[in-house]
This record gives sequence, structure tokens and C-alpha cells, in this order.
Amino acid sequence: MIPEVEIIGKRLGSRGMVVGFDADTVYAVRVGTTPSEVLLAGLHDLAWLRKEGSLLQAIIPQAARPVSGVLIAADLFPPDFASLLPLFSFPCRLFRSIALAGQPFPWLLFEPYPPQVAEEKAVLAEITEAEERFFSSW
Amino acid sequence: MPMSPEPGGKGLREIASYFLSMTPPPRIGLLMLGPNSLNQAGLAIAASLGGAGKRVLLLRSDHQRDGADLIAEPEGGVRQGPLADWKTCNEQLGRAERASDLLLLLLHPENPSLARLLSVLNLLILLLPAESGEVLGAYRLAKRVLVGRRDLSCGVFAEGGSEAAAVLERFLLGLRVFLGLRPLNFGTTPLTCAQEIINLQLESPAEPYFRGNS
Repeated sequence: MIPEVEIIGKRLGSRGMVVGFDADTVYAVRVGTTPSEVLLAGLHDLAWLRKEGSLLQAIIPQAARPVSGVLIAADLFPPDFASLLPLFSFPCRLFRSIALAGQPFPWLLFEPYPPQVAEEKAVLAEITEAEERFFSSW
Repeated sequence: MPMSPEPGGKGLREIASYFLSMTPPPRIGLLMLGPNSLNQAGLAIAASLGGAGKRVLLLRSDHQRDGADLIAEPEGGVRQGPLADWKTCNEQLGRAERASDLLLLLLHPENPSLARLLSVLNLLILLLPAESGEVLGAYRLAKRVLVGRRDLSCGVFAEGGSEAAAVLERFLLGLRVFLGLRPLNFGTTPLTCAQEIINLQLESPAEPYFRGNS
């Protein structure tokens, strides 16, 4: 389960797989790649998805749109991996696979990577002047 | 039960696993609010718990796997294992957990899985730097972590002399006043910290941390 992404896992032509889609983006990976290779595959082979536009429309007409992107799910990402995202000209979303307590093991879930920090929480976590005085002047 | 004659062989391990507890051990997070050298404080606390007769398994994200063994068992030291493999269905990790009285998780505020890890803890101990000049930075990190988890049982520890004691008092007061928490005082030596942990008699969690096959 990936938040906001409907997973379909449909084969696209002979080269790729449409993993799923969300409100804006169709996500795809090339067949035969491991998670760590997916990004590279996406960089080199995004063109194949565009070429398969008509096929894509036939498979998921409700999701077919001109934008397309790469979805990567992995246990671990290299350090600073997420900082590469703005460099890409196409949407790319990263997810870390997780399992929640109380769930049977094979039932894997995914969480966004890097973790999303809610704006409200970030504001709450800001240090106030009173706190700064209390902890810095003694 | 099949047995193998050689010491430490499969048969012996099977006998040992037969007597392992089926109750998951309590889990305590040791959150380093400062330089990485604070992991020494975590190790010292774990060693003190071991010295007090507790079977401790210390899990850390920077654990280096030693060949085929996931668990490092230095002679006279604390057993250590990986933090990141918690979701793997690994028999060795599951067995090591069941053979422990306490699971210590050495945590860093930047750990991307911290929010999830906090949710499996019985207790969170903040490891503070002993220098007063680093207190504001430590508080900044602590607030970021705790602001959404005021329900979590937590305490503070700073290893050292009078300056560490002053840091501890300042932090205890600050957490009470600004975050509305009621933190526990785990003292300034690993020994006192270990004793406080033992005195708490933490309850066992409902689910094990590792889901082994056996």
C-alpha cells in the first residue's frame, strides 16, 4: 500500500510496467530492474513510456495523461538520495518499505521518503524566545 | 529433539531456544541529543544493565554485521544487533530478542524511521551532552522529537560531573515548563541509570520487535 497511489502493476508493452498512479502522475518502472536500478532506468528510459502513450491509455484510460513519472520503493536509500529529486524533469516519488507492529510479516506498507513533516508540527517544534533564553543563558 | 554432540552445535542451540522466553522484552530508546560520542553513554548504560544481571540486546543503526552473524557478541560485552533489520523475518534476531530481558534501541534524531520506532518503545531516555553550551541544541532536537509525542514515557541522562548534573536539572525543568512533560531523572552515571531502569519494572510489550521464524 502506497499512500495516494493506486497500484495496478500492469505490464506495458514488452519493456515496462505501470506501477500505479495518483492524482497527477502515472508511475512506471522498467521490467527487470531492481529497486536500486529503477531510478537509473527511469532516467534513461522514460522515453519508452511516452512512446507507449496509446497503450497506456488503453490499460488505464482514467489515468492516462501526458505526465509520467518514476516511483521507487526500497528498504534503504543512499544518503542524500532525495536531494537528487529536484534535478529530474519528471515526477519521482520515493517510498521506504515498512511493516507495522501487529501485522503479519508479508504485509508490507510504504512510507514517503524523506519523511513528510507536517507544517503544523514544524511550527510547534520551533524554539520560542523564552526557551532560547532559558537554555542559553545560565 | 535432535541433538548434536559438538559444543555450540545445532542441537545445543535448539535446546537453548526451547527454554527461551516467549514474552517479548521491554524496549527502551536511547536518543542521542548531541555528538555521536554519546553512543558511548548508551553502551555504558547497556553494560551496567548487563552487570546488574540483565540480558541486554543493544540495537543500533550503525551496527556492522560480523560475517554471517547478525548479532555481535563480544566477550564480556553487550550483545549488539542491527536496528534496521527489524522487519526481516530473521530467526537469529527473533531468538536473540527472546533471550533478552531488555531491548535497547540506540536512536538518533535524524533517523528517518524515528516516528515509527518511538511508537514501539516502552520508554525513551534522552542522552544529553554534558556541556552547558550544547544544551540549547539538545533541547531543540528534543522538542522536535517530543512535540508530537507528549504521551511517551521519557527521562533524561547526562554522564559526567557537576556540569552534567546542572545540564540534567536544567533539562528536567525545561521539559516540564515548556513541553508539559514529566520526565524521569536517570542520573549522571550509567550505574544509576541502569538501576533506575531496573526499578521501573517495565511491562512487556504485546508484540515482539523481531518476528523470527522459530
